[in-house]
Amino acid sequence: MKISYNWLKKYLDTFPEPEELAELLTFHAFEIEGIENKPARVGGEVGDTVIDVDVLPNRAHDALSHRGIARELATLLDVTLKEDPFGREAKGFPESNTITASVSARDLTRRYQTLVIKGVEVGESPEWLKRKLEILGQRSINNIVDATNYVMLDIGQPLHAFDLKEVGDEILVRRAEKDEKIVLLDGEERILTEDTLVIANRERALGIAGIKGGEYSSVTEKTVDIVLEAANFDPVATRKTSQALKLRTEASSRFENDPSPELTAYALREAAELIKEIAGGEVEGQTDFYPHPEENPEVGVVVSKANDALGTTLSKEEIIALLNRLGFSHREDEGVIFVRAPFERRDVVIEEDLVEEAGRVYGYRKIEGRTLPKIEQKPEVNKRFYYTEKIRKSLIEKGFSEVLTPTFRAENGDVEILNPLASDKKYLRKNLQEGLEGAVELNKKNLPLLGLPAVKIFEIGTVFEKLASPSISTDKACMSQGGEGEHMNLALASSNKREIGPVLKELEGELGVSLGEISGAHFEINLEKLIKNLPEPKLYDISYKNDEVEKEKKYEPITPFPFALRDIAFWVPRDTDEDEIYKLLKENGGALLVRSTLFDRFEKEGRVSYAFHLVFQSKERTLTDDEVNQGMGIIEAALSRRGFEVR
Amino acid sequence: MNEKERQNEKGYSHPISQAIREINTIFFDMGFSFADGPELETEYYNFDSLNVPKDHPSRDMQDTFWIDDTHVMRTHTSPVQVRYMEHREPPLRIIVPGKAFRNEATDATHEAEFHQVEGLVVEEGATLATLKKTLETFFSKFFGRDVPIRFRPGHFPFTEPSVEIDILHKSAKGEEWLEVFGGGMVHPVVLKNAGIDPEKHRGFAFGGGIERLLMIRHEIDDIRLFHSGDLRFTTQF
Repeated sequence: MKISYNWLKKYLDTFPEPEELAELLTFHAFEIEGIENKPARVGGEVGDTVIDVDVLPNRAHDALSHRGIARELATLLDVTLKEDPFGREAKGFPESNTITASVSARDLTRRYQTLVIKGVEVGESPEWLKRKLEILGQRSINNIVDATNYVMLDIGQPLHAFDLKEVGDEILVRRAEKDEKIVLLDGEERILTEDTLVIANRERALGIAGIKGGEYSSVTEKTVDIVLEAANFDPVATRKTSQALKLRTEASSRFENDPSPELTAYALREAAELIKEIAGGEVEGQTDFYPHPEENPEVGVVVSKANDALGTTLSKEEIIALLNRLGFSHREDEGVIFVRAPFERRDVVIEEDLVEEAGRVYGYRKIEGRTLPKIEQKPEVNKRFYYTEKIRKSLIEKGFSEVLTPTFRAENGDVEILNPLASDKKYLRKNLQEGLEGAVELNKKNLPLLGLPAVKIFEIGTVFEKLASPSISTDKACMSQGGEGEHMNLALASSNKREIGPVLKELEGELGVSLGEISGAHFEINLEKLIKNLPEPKLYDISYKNDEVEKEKKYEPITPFPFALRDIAFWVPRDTDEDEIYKLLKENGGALLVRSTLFDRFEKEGRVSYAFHLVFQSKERTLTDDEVNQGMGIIEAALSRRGFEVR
Repeated sequence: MNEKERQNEKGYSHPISQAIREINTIFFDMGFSFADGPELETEYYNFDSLNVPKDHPSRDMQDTFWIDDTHVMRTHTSPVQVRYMEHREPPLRIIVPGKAFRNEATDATHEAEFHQVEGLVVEEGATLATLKKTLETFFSKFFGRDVPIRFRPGHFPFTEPSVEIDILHKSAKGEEWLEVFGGGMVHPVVLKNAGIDPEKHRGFAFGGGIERLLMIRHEIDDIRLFHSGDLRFTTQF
């Protein structure tokens, strides 16, 4: 939520610079997405700073507002709010004689409150109001609509204003009829379903509840009397409707987070006061549908439990002080601190919630790390992991490289995704083969670049077969990775089919099992079954030789430009150091020579012949023949200068 | 590695396997067992048992791959927490490296399938303080240098209190705090669902993406490379 720094001054007397304030919120409440300076402008407009606060989901019901963020800051700065709209009880207004409200969708409406104000003068908003909205990226419409938006941004309760003349004498909160149409404020017509909650008069829908108002009955310059609506709709229904209509608004994003129904009375009072000030008019009366007012529960916290969870040694007094800073009043009973959060805080329900509140106000940064105590029992050795590691190591030592290929497939799967990401990702793989074949093709093209004679790859991964039954089976005692119909496979593939057989034969020897029939350029086996029959491992005794991970290694982005392959052969004296040859090639090949692979070496008459594949590639462009020839020329010249005879 | 060594015909381990191997070694030394569970999960283990509300947005079709009314591709490795606890008594220390799935458009930083590592400790000594030290030790060993970490307030249905975990990353560009893990004290409802009495036991849990750790450590610019099957990528590690 975008928060205006100047706006907060309404609530707090002194507070730190925006950056400092952002830091306070970051470490005790919410992440800050950004801080933007809005410079002052000629004509007296003051500068401001907009702080974009990423309010956590469990606090979006109370903190998507300036008052909410100010309340948070007051806690963190340990000061009281200079002014608090919730500090003055909102008692409501006299009953309206002009309209009635009938709520038929009672299951989706927790509160529906309206206020009739007569004789307003609709017009432009005063500059201060326009500026406040503009700074937060909101367009000024007219003084009435702006007042409702202001109150929403101020205390978090969405409001809507109707033209009383167009509403008539009854306002209905009902489900839409099938295919009922409505033209919204943005001028777009929407077709509704029976799941949509609408606000209507006797003739037609006037707005989609909790989401957006309709064009008809909106407040215009001709409007004289208005109806303000402040309501509380079912959060889940609001979210689902907003998703179905692909219409997310300031209002819907608040309603879907379950704000307190108590808020509506405060919002109407605030709006009525502001409208009186900037548009005149007289309050006529209210309607209020509020069948089940609820009070926040009283929650107890035990000091030792808080310290046990936080890893702190806070005293009872310190914890009480932290909770009081939040504006939570408390009582004590037999060593338990009991707290009832104020009405707008609906997230304090269990002891752990209070531990979290105390902990974050105290500051997680102050918690000192402590080592877990040593434990007696040795960790279990995971059999599946043990053997997959053993197999990995064996295959890698035999020249095979491990790849991972996607789980999702266009076709040839037994298990289908109900909501795939794309039509070519509709199925779960039932084997690894197809993915590996694709990888062989991909890598075959790059063999010279890789400096490898053949593609030799393997994958260990989960494959999926038909679900045994559509019902839940939750009692998988051993929960081997195989839930219903999934298991781990091992597959090998190579661009040279003779590579696979010998490697598997060796692996059979190492594991002491038969891997079944081995033929062709591809091999796949159910690894789950295989491992089941192997002996239980006692220890992770697999050591990877030379497997020190290069933690400092930085990835070189793969260039999209093609490489060029050239061969070179030359004679060198027998006592020539091979390292010198590599060095010579590298130094003279320059940045464009990305690989030199020795592919032939023989001795004859006191001399040694070397033959190399030389691979040229640029990170910026496709190399021309001329460039490559030039590169070869430099290398050949350098070899000749060294006295090597280029063949 | 020079050109000569490269030609010795040895193959390459995938960086994810390498990372899981490192993770297991580091945590094994701290007394953690390696646990795993199915990738195709029930809604119960993936959401209900973890205290995710029935109508929570994460269950929506646009976030989760659904197989049928009651099965999903697991969206995190957390279901293994409950599966593991169901059959054991505290004290418990586990890590769960494994694959998870999210229904989101893929780009350089988002993949529909990726790997996570989950950690769970249920014992007397589990506090936010021991969580902090455990992760400090892990990150320092994983990155091969002292890695300061910091906690910020966070929110997850399965932990309370919840924290976001940042590491101080040093690169050629300088120092910056990066959010890498989430964690907190295991929510009492989760313990209860797993048959452990929350009045008698408490635990901490943490989790985060393995690809993300590798992307930070090796400055990898595109998460899609991990599942590309491309040896131009794999052979660099």
